[in-house]
Formats: sequence, C-alpha cells, structure tokens
Amino acid sequence: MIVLRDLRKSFGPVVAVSGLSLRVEPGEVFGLLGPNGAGKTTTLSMLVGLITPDAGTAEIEGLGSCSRPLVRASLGVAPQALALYDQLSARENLHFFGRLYGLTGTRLRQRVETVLGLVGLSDRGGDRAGTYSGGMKRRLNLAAALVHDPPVLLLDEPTAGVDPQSRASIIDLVRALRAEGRTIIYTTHYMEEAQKVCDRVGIIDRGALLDVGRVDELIARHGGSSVVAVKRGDVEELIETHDPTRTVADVLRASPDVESIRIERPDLETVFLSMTGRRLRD
Amino acid sequence: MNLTQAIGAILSIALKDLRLLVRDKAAAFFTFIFPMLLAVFFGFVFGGGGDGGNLTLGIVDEDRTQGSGQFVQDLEKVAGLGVRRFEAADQAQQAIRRGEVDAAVVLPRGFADSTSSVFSGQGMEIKGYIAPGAGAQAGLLTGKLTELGFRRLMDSFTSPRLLQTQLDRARQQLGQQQDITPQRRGVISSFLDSVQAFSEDMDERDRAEEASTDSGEKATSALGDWTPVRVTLEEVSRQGAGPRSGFEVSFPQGVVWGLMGCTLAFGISLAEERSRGTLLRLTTAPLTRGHILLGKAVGCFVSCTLVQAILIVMALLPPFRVQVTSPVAMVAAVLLCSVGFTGVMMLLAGFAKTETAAQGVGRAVMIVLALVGGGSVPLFILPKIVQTLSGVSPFRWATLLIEGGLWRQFELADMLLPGGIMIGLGVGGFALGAAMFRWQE
Ligand SMILES: Nc1ncnc2c1ncn2[C@@H]1O[C@H](COP(=O)(O)OP(=O)(O)O)[C@@H](O)[C@H]1O
Ligand SMILES: [Mg+2]
Repeated sequence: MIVLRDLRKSFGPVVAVSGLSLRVEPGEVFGLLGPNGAGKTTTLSMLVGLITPDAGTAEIEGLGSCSRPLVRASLGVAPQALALYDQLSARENLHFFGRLYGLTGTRLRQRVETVLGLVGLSDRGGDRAGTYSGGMKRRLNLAAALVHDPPVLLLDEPTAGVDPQSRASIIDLVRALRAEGRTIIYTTHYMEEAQKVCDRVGIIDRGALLDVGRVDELIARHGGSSVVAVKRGDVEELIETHDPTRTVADVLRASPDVESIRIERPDLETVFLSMTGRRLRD
Repeated sequence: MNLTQAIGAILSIALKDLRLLVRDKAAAFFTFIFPMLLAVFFGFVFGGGGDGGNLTLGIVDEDRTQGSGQFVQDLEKVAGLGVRRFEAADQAQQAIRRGEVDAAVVLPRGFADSTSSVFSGQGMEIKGYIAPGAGAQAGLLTGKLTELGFRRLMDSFTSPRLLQTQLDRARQQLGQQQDITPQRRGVISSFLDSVQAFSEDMDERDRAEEASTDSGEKATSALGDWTPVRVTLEEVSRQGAGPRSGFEVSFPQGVVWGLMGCTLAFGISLAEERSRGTLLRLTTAPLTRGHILLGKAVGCFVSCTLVQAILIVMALLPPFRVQVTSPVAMVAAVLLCSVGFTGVMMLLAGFAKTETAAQGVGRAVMIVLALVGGGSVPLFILPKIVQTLSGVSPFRWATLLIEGGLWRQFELADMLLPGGIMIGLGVGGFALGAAMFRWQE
C-alpha cells in the first residue's frame, strides 16, 4: 500500500532521515516508534510530498507519489503541530478542510457531524477552537484528517500533550478506524501506545529504521530474557530467564521464606534500550 | 481535482481568510474602521466641505460704479453664496482652474447704466465662467443672478427715486427717438405715466416691505420672456485643479490606509499559517501551491475592493458629498488598486521569512511607504522633490488613481501610467512573491 524506498533527507549538517525503506500493508496500523528527533515527522513529510527527499521515493502503490495533488486526496493527515484556525469554530474548521477536498452540500455537513461525533466534540462543535483544551484540540486535529473519509491515515504523534482521558479515547478511535479497514501510519515515542494499537512497529532512531515486526517478534528478537525478582528480607535477587513461570515455580519450591516475587517481562522499551543503548524517553 | 473543485477550493480559502480577518478585532479595526475615522477626521482638518452645495463665486467688477458696487454687495448677502473679488477676468478664470472658486462673474463696463434703463434696454448682460462638471452649480448660479436681477427690478418699483430716474430716462429716450409715430409716442408716454401712478400707489401700501423672490416670480409671469439679467456661462476647464473639499483629500488617504491594512493582514496571515501549521494542512490537501496562493490573493483582492468601496460609497453620502466626476474611472481605479496591492501582499509574504519579520519589518516598511505615498500629507501639497521620491511607493500611484476618479478627472491616457504600475505590481509582485515564498518554517 505505502512504499518508501531508501529515503534520505538532510537539513544542512543534520541528517534527519538516512536511507529509510519501508512497506506498509493495506489495512494495518503501522507504528513508527522512536525518540524525539528520530526522523518520524520528516519521513511523513516526505511521504505527503511536503518535503522533497534528497534521494529515494515515497508513494502509494497504484496511485503514485503524493507530490501529485490527486494522490493526496486519499490521504488524511493529522500533523504533529496542531493545524487549526483558533478563530474558527470546530465545525467551521472541519467545513473548511472538507471543502479543500471537494466535499460540498449535504455530504459535507454529514461528514462534519460524523467526525465531530467520532472525536466526541459534537456538543462543543460551535465553540471556537481557540477556547479548547489541549486534549480537545488534539481530537479536533484528528477529526480534520478524517473529514473527507480517506482510506489512508498518517497520524503524527496523535496523543502528544493530552490528558489521559483524551489519550484513551484517541487510542479507541484509532482501533475503530483500523476495524473499518483503513491503512494507518502512527508515529509515537510512547511504547505503550505502539504496543496497544499497532499491528507492526518500526523502531526508528537517528533517521534509520532499526527493525520492523510485530511487537512480540521484536521483543523475542531484541528483548532478551525476562527477569524474576525475588525478595527475602532486605535482599532482592534478580534471576534472568527465558521461561519466567518455570523459574517462579522453581524458586518457590526451593525456598519457602520468600517475601515477594516479581516478574519483569521485556517490552519495547527494553527492545529500544538493547538496540541503541539509550532509553526512548529521557 | 477538476476546475470547478479547484475554484471552489480557492474561493473557500478566500472566504475563510475574510472570515478570519473580520474576527481578528485588531486587524479588522485597522483595515476597515481606522481608514474611515481617518477619512472623516482629516476631511474636517482640511477644511471639510460639509456646507453642502455651497458655491464660491468670483466677481470681477469692470464697471466700478456705485450701481455695480451695490450689485456686488447684494450678491454677498445671498445665502449659500461665497463671494471673492478679482481685479481681472483672467485672474478669476485662473482661480476656477485652481479650484479656488466654483464660478466667476464679470460685470462689464456700462453694467450699472443698463440696469437703470431696464425698460428700454435688453436687461443686464453678465458674462460668467464656471468649472465643468458643476452642472447643478451652474443652474444655481444662473438662478441666483436672475433672482438678483428681478430683485433690483422690483427695487425700482418700490423705490420711487430710482423709478423716477428710470422713468425720466425712458421719457428722454422716447423724446430722442425719431422713427416713432406720434400716436405710438402717446401710447408709450401714457403707459409711463400709468406706471408712475401705479408705483406711487403701491409705494404707499408697502413702502417698508422689501421685495422678495416671490414678487420676482410674479414679475416673470407679468413680463413674459423678458429677463432683467442675461447670464452667459462659459466653461473653464479645471485641469490640474485641486480638490473641491477636504473630504476629496481625506478619503483617498483613507483608501491608502485601508489598502495597507488589507495587504498587511493577508501578508501576515500567510506567514502565520506557516508558523501555526495550518499551511501544512493546506499543502497536504489535493491542491497545488498555486491554488493556495491564488486563494490568498483572491481574499486579498476582495477585501481591498471591499474597503475601497466602503470608503468611496461613504464619501458620496452626506455630510461628505464627495463627487465622483468619472464613475468609470473610479471603478477602474478601485479594481486596479486591488490588483496592485494583492501583488504587494504577495511580495510581503515572499520576503518576510518568519511571522515576526512580517509583523515587524513588513509592517514598518508598509507604514513608511504609506506615509510617503500620500497616507499622511496629501501629495499635491508636498514639495516637488518629495512628490518625485514618493514614486517608489505603490501607495502614491493608488492615491493618484483614486483622486483621478474623484477630482483629477482622469481620462484613459492619464490612467495609463498609474494603472500600468498597478497591473505590473499585481502580476510581478504575485510571481516574485510566490517564487520567494517559503512553505516551511
Ligand atoms: N526544517 C528543518 N530544518 C532543520 N532541521 C530539521 C528540520 N526538520 C527536522 N529537522 C531535524 O531533523 C531531525 C529529525 O526531526 P523530526 O523528523 O522532526 O523528528 P521526530 O519527528 O522523530 O521527532 C531532528 O534532528 C530535527 O532537528
Ligand atoms: Mg515529530
């Protein structure tokens, strides 16, 4: 569906994206997981034709490069930087963005109400975007990407700077959109989100894609062993193992004086740490 | 995206920007309200013109007799008529050309003589000059002078001494006339006697009562086609004339500030869309970059036209009553200015690489250009050197075009240079500004 081939982009001395290749299948949610400055936004910008790559290509299979306006009609983009008119109401914002995609009349009005409902802003739709909280703006920013009902969604950090409630509702919405069969690229630096919503995840750092796969595959490949922490009195013993259940059973059988026992399974954070020697969020 | 959709998208960008402009209180104030306040305020500072239809009349008294002096004094008493005396007819004509007076009247040698022989002569001959395009004022002037003539005629009836002289003179002329039959001489003589008797009779009844316009009108019907004053008017072209009222100066200034407001508002809005991220949404929509800038340009063009139209329509209304001497030139001037300043807007957006630059340097440059371009002091009272310097300011050419429609009486040839500059600015400014425009922060 979406194919990136050896994309490269530098800003002066800064290499933002260095030879990134990627294939996103139709109907999947693909997560681009990486810390700030990894090159996620630059990659998406090249995909939508906003930035011309120094080298490489980015295209929608069967349609071509998004530098062609017509191809962009099938994309819904929710930029990382909120892109809304504060002086316009949520409805007016969505109405305007819908017009840009050629929607008019009843169909436009219906779509505006539908997406307002999807992001839970129906009752505040008449208020100016400038009066919204961070979470509400984020949701409106997402709604603006959906108004023309595009089959492909590019969501750049759609939960940045929102309250836990908005975050949960955005994640639910992305799952619902996936269930409708849309193809989604979802960038984030929150590994929990990637684990929750993404079918496959690409780990990106310093402009390069380190590995791509299902979450369990990535953990199996790079997560290393689980750790069982056993506490006796003031002493905590850490046991590395590939089969934590078995290890716990063994520990309990051997010594009955255990105060507490804890299993630390590897997650994407561990994966990132083992691949880069750094943590996702500093 | 087909053409209809593209036009729809361009128009919705323009509409969105107009809506944003109206909602941005500061921008709306400087674009629409401030120019109006300025036009009204400076209009009064420059001497207004709120006396509605007042006529300034130049008088040249070539007769220099007591009678003609009396006539001028009578004129000075007429309400709604300002009188200025001139030594010679060409001075008065010069004053019309400069727009200092609306019309001028020459009282020829022998003027008083002809007044005191109203019964035998042709009435007074008054030669007048008037600026073209002052049709209503020309009618007013003829009316006022005729009224004055009748009043003098009626004065003859009500002032026995004056009538006596006239009757005596008429009898004397009658006596000198050789080619009249004795029969006819007798009829006229008895007519003169009866006039004298009638007048003495009337005189007793309303000696103190001054003759009014009313009685003048009655006299007209009694005397048929005969008029005591014959006014011949000649047009004096007002080329290079000055404005007729303060508002003809101040409303073009208002237009300058209105254009500046629009240009700044739209130029800054492009920089703002870039820094606030909405431009990104526009560029990821299925539009070309040309569509986006065209949308901005249409919005700017419409708001420029709107602000000019508001100001000019306002200027036409009381109490300002600015006259548009050439409606076609006026409409053309407005549209040309809108084209030109849409180009200036794109230049501003292209050169200002950041929102801060647009807000700071952009605003400063525009204000200076507006000031030297006629936004603060009317161009025609600036020294020649400054007038020449102001040629670099697009506002100067806009002022010229707007004034061309108001009082400069521009014809096609006069509009070629400033109009050409506006079109050049519009097309060139758009092309250069669009080429220089940065699409990302
Ligand atoms: N317009 C730009 N000019 C200069 N440097 C940029 C620009 N955009 C991004 N960068 C740099 O490129 C790198 C990748 O940035 P970005 O793609 O925004 O990362 P991410 O979205 O993963 O946080 C960063 O080092 C960033 O500073
Ligand atoms: Mg980013």
